[in-house]
Amino acid sequence: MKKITLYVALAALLAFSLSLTVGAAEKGTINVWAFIAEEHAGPMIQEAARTFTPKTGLKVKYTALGYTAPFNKILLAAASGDVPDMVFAQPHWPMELYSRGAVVDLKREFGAEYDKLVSTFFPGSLTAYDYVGARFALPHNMWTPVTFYTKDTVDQMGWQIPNTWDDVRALIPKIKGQKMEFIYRPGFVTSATIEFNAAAVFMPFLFQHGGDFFTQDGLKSALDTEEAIAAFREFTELFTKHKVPLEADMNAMLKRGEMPIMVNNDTNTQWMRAVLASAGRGGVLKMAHLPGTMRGGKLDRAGDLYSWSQFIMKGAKNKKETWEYVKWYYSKDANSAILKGWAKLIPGLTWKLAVREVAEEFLRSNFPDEAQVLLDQVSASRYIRPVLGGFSMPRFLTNAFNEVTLKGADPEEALRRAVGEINKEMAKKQKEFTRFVY
Amino acid sequence: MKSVVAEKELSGVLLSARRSARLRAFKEHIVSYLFIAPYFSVYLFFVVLAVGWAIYLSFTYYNMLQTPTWVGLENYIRLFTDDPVFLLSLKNTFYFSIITGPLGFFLSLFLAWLIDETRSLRKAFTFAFYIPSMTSAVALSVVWLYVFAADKYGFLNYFLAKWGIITQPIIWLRDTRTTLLCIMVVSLWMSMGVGFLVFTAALQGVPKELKESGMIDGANKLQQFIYITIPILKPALLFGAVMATVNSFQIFDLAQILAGFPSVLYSAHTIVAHLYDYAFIRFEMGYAAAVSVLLFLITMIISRVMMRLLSSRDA
Repeated sequence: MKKITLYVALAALLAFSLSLTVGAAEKGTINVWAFIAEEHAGPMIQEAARTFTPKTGLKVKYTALGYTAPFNKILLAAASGDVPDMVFAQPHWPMELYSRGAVVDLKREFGAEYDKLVSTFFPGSLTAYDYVGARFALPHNMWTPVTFYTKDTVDQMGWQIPNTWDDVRALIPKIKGQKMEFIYRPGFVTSATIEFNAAAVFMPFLFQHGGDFFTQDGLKSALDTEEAIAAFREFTELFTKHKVPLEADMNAMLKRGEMPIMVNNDTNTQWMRAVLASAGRGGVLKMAHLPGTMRGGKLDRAGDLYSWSQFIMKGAKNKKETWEYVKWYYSKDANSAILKGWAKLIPGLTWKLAVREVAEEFLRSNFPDEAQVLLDQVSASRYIRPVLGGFSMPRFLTNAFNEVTLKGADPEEALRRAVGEINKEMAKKQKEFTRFVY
Repeated sequence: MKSVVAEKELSGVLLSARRSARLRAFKEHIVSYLFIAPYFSVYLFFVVLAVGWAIYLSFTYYNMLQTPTWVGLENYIRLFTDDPVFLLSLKNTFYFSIITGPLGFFLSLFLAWLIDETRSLRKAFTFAFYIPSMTSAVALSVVWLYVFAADKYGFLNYFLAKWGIITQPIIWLRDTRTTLLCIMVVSLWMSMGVGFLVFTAALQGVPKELKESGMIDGANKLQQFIYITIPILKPALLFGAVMATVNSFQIFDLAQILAGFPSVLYSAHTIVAHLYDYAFIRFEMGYAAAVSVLLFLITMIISRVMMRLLSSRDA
C-alpha cells in the first residue's frame, strides 16, 4: 500500500509542475526577449506599461538577456519550440533563423501594414533584412561612421577637415609630421569575428566605388568586380602605403592628444568625449561627415549602417498581438519616448532609431551641431545584404586583408582568392538548404 | 544417457548457485552501490549517453531546427577529403600539443624538483607557481592581452621598440607567424597545474635515505634526480603526462580569447575551434559531432600509448 501511495504522490507532483509551465504562455501576453542589459530595458518596459497596455489591454513581458548572451539561447528555444513572440537582438541573427524556417516573413504576413510601417524608416536601414524580397526583421538603433576631430588641435595646426579620401591621403603626412596619427576604425581590421571584422569597415570604400558584397540574387559574391577590386586596393593602401596604424589604443592616444582626426563609429561619441575630458588638457571632440568619393559628379558619402534587429518568431503563439506591439513600438510617440528614456540613462547617447522623424527630432534637440552630419550619414548608408552562407564573407575578406597588410600580398590576388572561397562556402550552404523545403 | 542428464542438472544447479551467490553479494554490498549511484548516474547521463549520442549524430545531418537525417559516412568522408581547414587545425593542434605537452610536463617536473630542494619559502614558491592554473583563462587573458597588445603602447611592443629591437609594432596576436607562439607561451605559463602539485607531493614521498646513500656513493644532485627520484616517481609521471597531453589537445578558450575566433587565416585554429565553428556558426551539428568523435579517438589512442610507455610494471 505504501508503495502505491508514493507513486500516486509522485505522479500528482509531476502533473502539477507540468501544468505550471504550460499555463505560462497565456493569450494576451506578448513575450519579448531583448538581448540587452537589464538596466537598458527600463525605458521599453516603462513605455509599454504607460501607453501600450492601457490602450490595447495586452501585457508585454520583457526578458533582458544581456548584450553578450550567445546565439545558442534563441537557437535552443527555436529547436525546442518554446519560443518567445518577439526577439530584439544582433543584426546577423535573424538571417540564420529565417533560412531555417524559424522567423516570420513580415512582408508576406502583414502585407500593406508592413509597407506603411517601413515607409517611415531610413531607406538604407532595411537592406540588412531583405532576402530576395522577403523582409524578416526590423531595424532598431543604428550607428554609422563619422569623422571625429579635436577642434583645438586642428585649428592650431591650420588643417582642413578632409572632404574626400584624397584629402585624407594628403593630410596623413602632415599629421604624422606632428608625431600624431590618423586612425581609421580601431579594433576592426585585425579581428575576424562576426561582430568586428574588416568587412564592416570596408563598406565605405566599397559602397562609394559603387560595388557591393553580393550579387542581386544573393547567390554569388560580387567582390570580384572592377569597382570592388579598386575599392579594396584603396582600402588596403591606406594601411600599407600610407601607414595608417592597424591597431590603436584609443584610450591612451586620446589622453596623450595623439588622435587629432579619426574615423570611428558614432556610438563611441560619449565615452571618447569622457576620456578626452578626463585627460584634462581641454580639447573638444567634434563630428564631421565621413570622407566621400566623387562619383559621377556627386560626392558619395555612403558608409555602413549597423543596426540591431527585431523579429517575430514563427512558433510564436500571439502573432497578431505581437504585430500590434510592433506597430505601437515604431509609432512616433512611443519610439520618441523610449529614445528619451534611453538618453536619460546614458547621457550623451547619439542613438538613431529607425523612424526618421523621431531620429531627426531627437538629434536636432540634443545635438544641434551634429544632427545634420548624423542624419546625412544615416540616409546615405546601408549594410551588408543577408545571404545563405553569409558568415563566410567577413571571415575570408579579413583573411585577404591580413594577407595584404601583414604578409604583403597583392590586393587583387588576395581578393580574388577570397571570392573563390566565399563562393565555395555559399554554394555549399545553398546545396544544403535545397535539401529541405521550408 | 543418465550421466548426460545428471551433468546438465548438476551444471544447472551450479549456475543457479553462482547466480544466487552473486545476488547475495550484491545485497550485502547494497549500501556501497547506493553510495556510488549518484555519481554513476551523472556519469551515465552526461558522459556515456552524451558520447553515444554524439557518435549517433556524427552519422546524421542535423541543424538543430529540423530532425536529424541519416547520412551514413558522408561526414567522415568529407572530413578527410574535402576539408583543408580541418587538416590545418590538426596540424596546429599537433604542433601545439607536441611542444606544450612534453615541454609543460618537463617544466612542471623540473620546477617541482627545484622547489623540493629549497628549504625556506617553499610554500611561497609552490603557491606562486600554482596560482595561474587556479584562475580562469578568461581572467588571465586580460593581462596577456595587454602584454601582447598590437599598438605601439602594448607592453612587449613598447619595450622592444625602446631597446631598438623592432621599428614597427608587431601585431602579436594577429600576425600568423607569431600567433601560435604567443598562445603556447601563455598556455605553458598556465600549465603548472594539477600535475605540478602531484609531482611536489610525490617528490616529498621519496625517502631521504635513498638520496643520502646516493650522495655517499658520489652522485651529484642531477644524477640523484635521474637515477633515484624519477624511477620512484613513475606513477605520478604517468598521471602528469596523460593530463598534460589530453589537456593540450583541447585548447580552445585560451586561443579564442587571445587570437580571436576565427583566428586570422586560421593560424590558431585548433580541432576544438573547428568543431565550434561547424557547430555554432554554420549549425552543421552532424559534422561537428564527427569532428568530436575523431578528437575522442585521437585522445584515447595517445593516452593508451602514454600508459604503455610509462606504466610501472614490475620487470
